[in-house]
Amino acid sequence: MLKKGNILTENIIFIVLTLIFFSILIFFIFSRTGGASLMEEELAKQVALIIDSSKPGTIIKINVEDALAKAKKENYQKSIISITENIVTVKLREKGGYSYSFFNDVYASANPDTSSLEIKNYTIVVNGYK
Amino acid sequence: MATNNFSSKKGADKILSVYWFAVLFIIASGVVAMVYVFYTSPFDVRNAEADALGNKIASCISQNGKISSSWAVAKTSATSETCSTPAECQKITGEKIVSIVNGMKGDLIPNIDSLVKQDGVAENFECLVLQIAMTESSLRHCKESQKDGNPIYCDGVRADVNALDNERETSLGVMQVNTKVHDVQAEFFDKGVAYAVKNVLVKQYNENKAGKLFSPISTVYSGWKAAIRGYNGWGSGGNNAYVEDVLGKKNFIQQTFPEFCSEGKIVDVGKQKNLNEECHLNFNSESQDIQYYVQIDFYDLKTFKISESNGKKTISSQPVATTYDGNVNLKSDCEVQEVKDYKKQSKCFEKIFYGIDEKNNQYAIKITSVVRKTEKNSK
Repeated sequence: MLKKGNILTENIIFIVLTLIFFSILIFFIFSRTGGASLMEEELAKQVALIIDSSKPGTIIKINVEDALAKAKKENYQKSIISITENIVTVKLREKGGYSYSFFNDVYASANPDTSSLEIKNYTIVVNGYK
Repeated sequence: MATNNFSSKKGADKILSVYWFAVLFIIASGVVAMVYVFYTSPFDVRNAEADALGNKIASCISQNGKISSSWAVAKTSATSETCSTPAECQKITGEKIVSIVNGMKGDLIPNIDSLVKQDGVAENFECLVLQIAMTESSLRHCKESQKDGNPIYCDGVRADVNALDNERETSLGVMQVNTKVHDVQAEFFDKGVAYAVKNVLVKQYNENKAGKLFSPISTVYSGWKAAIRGYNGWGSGGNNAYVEDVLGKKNFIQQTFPEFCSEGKIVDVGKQKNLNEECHLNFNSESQDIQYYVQIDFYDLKTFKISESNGKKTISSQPVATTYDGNVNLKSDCEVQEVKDYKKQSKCFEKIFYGIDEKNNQYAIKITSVVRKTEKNSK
């Protein structure tokens, strides 16, 4: 009986160690894939490409729930997308941010969509040519 | 025995556990390495960006297949103009030469215009080619100066092309390329001019710019004078005063083509159109250097040909007009990309479509858009 008990304990330790091992691995992968810097880059490039492909008068709503959640997690309360001249900047944390330029020479702006109580979208407005 | 068996099984299990963890560790290291490499590399959106840039240019110059006459670049396209007097026909032929030479100039020798001017042979490279064409054929590609107002009516028709046929040579076309020596279909205007410029004139310059003795008159020519001499040949039996003859055409060419050859003029046909303004482009970016390049080549659809070798399709005809904007240094990356696609190099995108202008001239239009932005898109 004692020997059987030893085997069970060893197996449990083995399983726990394996679980810890995989947990660390999964945590690492998730921390990498859901990082603020990655999200900033993705969103900035996405917005820049959208503006490049747009004609004046286009209004685009872009879902940024994940980015806003990340910004909230990082205690960042300001506007997450800003457009200055022809450069889109996405900022989800105080120390960070990512900028990407677009070649379409239009007046463009990005503002939170306040049509619903909880902000889920940003509105990208592509105005006339400069 | 039974106890011993149990102990050895237990020992084996322990060893197995160690191996199990070793295997796990190796797998985990691989996963971590892959995830790290993948997620620390930036998203490469340059292909999508170059594609969008090409599409924007296409919709800018063509609406439902119609090209605005201002884009048809009729100024440099002889096909859309007619002439009646030899002087008018010389002008049209010369403008077509300028258009071809200007389109290929960037790929020949850096600062080619300055080098030509420094040597005092012509105001710029296009004008030097015009001087040679004037010396060779009086700027006439066909036997007659025109037919139905078209000075290049004979294009591709060997029997009607301006030719000098004798035992030594069979020289054809406006540049009088000797087809007994050079393997080129010089009866085609575009091919003859392009070949003469690249494979004869520029080749002679590269080979003999340091200086070469022309033995029939014991004169050493260097720089562009050597290139001109080489164009006529270094042996005896040619025109011994060929260099002087070409230089002697400088004034005539300056007077006939003041828009290209007047004092201090640099021909930039492509730049005649400001693409940035016309198509509402802004090439400013986070970097100091311009990260974009756009080139539009207009080909006459009547002579437009695509050749295929080793499974690769290339346009074999010369453009009748070229317009470009942006950082011209990026263009060379496209040629490299044709051989191998390097991550660190600019991304090129090509688009060919057809259009017709208000005068019913049909064009094949090739748009090349290049995006660099390497720092933002590649690690």
